[in-house]
Amino acid sequence: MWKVAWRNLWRNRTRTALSIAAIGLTHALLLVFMAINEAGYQSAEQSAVKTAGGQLLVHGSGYWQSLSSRHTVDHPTAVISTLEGMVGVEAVIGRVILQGLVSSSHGSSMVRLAGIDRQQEALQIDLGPYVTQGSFLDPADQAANPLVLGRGIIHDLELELGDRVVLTATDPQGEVTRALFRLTGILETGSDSYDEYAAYTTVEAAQRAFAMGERLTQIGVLLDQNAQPDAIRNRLQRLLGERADTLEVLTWAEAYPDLVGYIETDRGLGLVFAIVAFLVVGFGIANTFLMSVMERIRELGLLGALGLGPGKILKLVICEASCLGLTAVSLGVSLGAAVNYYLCAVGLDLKMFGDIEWDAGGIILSETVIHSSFDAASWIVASLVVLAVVLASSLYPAWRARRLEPAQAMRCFQ
Amino acid sequence: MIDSNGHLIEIKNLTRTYRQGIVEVPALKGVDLTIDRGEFTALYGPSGSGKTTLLNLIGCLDRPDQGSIAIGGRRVEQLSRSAAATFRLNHIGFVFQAYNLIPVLTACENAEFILLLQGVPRQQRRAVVHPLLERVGLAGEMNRKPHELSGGQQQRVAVVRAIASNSRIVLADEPTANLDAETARELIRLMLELNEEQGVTFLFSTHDPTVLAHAHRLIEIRSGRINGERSRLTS
Ligand SMILES: Nc1ncnc2c1ncn2[C@@H]1O[C@H](COP(=O)(O)OP(=O)(O)OP(=O)(O)O)[C@@H](O)[C@H]1O
Ligand SMILES: [Mg+2]
Repeated sequence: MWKVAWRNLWRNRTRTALSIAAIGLTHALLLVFMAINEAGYQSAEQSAVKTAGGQLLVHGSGYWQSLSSRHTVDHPTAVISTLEGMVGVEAVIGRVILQGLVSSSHGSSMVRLAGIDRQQEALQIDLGPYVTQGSFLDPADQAANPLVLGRGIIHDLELELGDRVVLTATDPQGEVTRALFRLTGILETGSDSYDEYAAYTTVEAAQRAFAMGERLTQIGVLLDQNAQPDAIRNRLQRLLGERADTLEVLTWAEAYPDLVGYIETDRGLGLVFAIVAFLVVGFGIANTFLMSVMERIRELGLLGALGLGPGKILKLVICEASCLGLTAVSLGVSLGAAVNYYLCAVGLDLKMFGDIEWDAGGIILSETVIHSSFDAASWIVASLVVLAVVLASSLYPAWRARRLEPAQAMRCFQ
Repeated sequence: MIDSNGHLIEIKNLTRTYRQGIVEVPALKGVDLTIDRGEFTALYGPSGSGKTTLLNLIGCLDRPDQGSIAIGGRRVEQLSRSAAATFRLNHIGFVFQAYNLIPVLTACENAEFILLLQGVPRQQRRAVVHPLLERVGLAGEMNRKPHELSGGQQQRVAVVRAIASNSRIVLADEPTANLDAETARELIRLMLELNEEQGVTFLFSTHDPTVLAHAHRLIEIRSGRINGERSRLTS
């Protein structure tokens, strides 16, 4: 039966080859698309985590809503040591973040001043390489109040390395405070909006300059790969006990719901795209099978006359479809795997397509090279779906073949 | 197969009317006929007289409007489609006018096709089919596809297929119509020999007088009725 089905398939070589190519190529395309998108989501997630400052963020309660410097983590050492004792926590990074104004004799510019510990930050993202002039808060340069500014600000304010600049911000008590900093580095990430807004100093300098004592604005928590941010957040809140009320703990997804939504929409669109593609292919295949059944009315009648029951004739046509489907899917998978392997190993540099600015919603997509990821489970599912589409599209033709009356069929073309 | 008493095929008052919309074409108008084991019988009559219709009914390819058909004592006229298919598979061999063979299979595979469907293992199939193909002079053509065989060779493969499965009845609808006179005569002689050697019952229809001359029993059918019958001892 399978032999007859297989050989039947190859009677019209061109037609079968075209069908196989159509299904196979669509399948390969779908697989590669899926893999690229998945990799894209993963790297977007990673970028989001980096930009957010960790999978979990601990703030003084109310901070994320208002971004106001009034909301601080007041006795951070206790919180930090609690966090450091938790399973699944890889690193804990303290930060001071203030919205402020940098001024020079040429004007002033809004900045987001981050007081950071460079060594700690480097655990997830090291901006050092993006500092094109000067250094990135190197402990070796002795400046008391070092300041690294984005390229855009430097340009607007016509500053030079070593210049003194005045930074104005509101301290936790609500006082507008001015402090003097020295420009020690220029940051150039390639993202204009980032470079027009970014300002970095050390945690200590920021705390000193704006009367914060030991207070922090944010504690970023880096988790193990397999740790569930939600679970750890809940555990942390339990451990903090009463203190939990004065703090807010957000997962990166809660902090950046836009990005999560964007990924979900994109997944949905991808699915719709795949469904439409396969509906089109499915109807094409159904038509092809119907044609091949109609051409062979006499022959199928002969099989019936020889004693192949209606059920078996149905099976024969479905077998033919299965052969076609399996061949096409193998083709699709091999082709998809080859392309995907290339993408995994080499990657596709988006810069090839021109100089585009890669930031979405304030998140730097520092990777412009698209890599692909391979997820066996989703490939198997996709392949089964394609097989199912091919089989489904053969059902009607098969049913028509089943209904043939051998006596009538044999009279055709006699 | 079937019980050994009585006639192999027993047909009573068989009626078949084709309906095409409101037009009714009476193809058989009450046929009574019996065929015994080992007979070599020809149906003849003008075109449109109902030969194909009768053979199709006997072969369970079609159902009558009235009347009964018993094959080996078993009533077959109302079998369901799949029961009819199984019955054909196990009891009836067919040879049609043309395009008898499955194009994608070789001569040998075609000849053993019924055995394959019956689930006979490969070794055994070959053991049955090879000698038969050799017997009909196709030893050298076993691995050819139908389109690489002449019309006469194709028909011989079909005859082998029909008898290989041990079917006791072979129904042949104008098996020689697409062959030239010489080939037709050869084929009918071959069928006759197989009839004598293997005791297979043949019932075939034909227009061809030279083919008719070989039949033991001749049944004339005219506008849906049996018009007469002649017997001949041997040719
Ligand atoms: N499917 C059908 N629908 C309508 N009428 C049919 C059908 N099949 C056969 N007939 C009619 O039934 C009658 C008998 O046809 P049948 O094919 O049995 O004749 P036949 O003796 O085999 O003829 P031939 O020698 O030409 O093969 C004819 O009048 C034919 O037109
Ligand atoms: Mg006829």
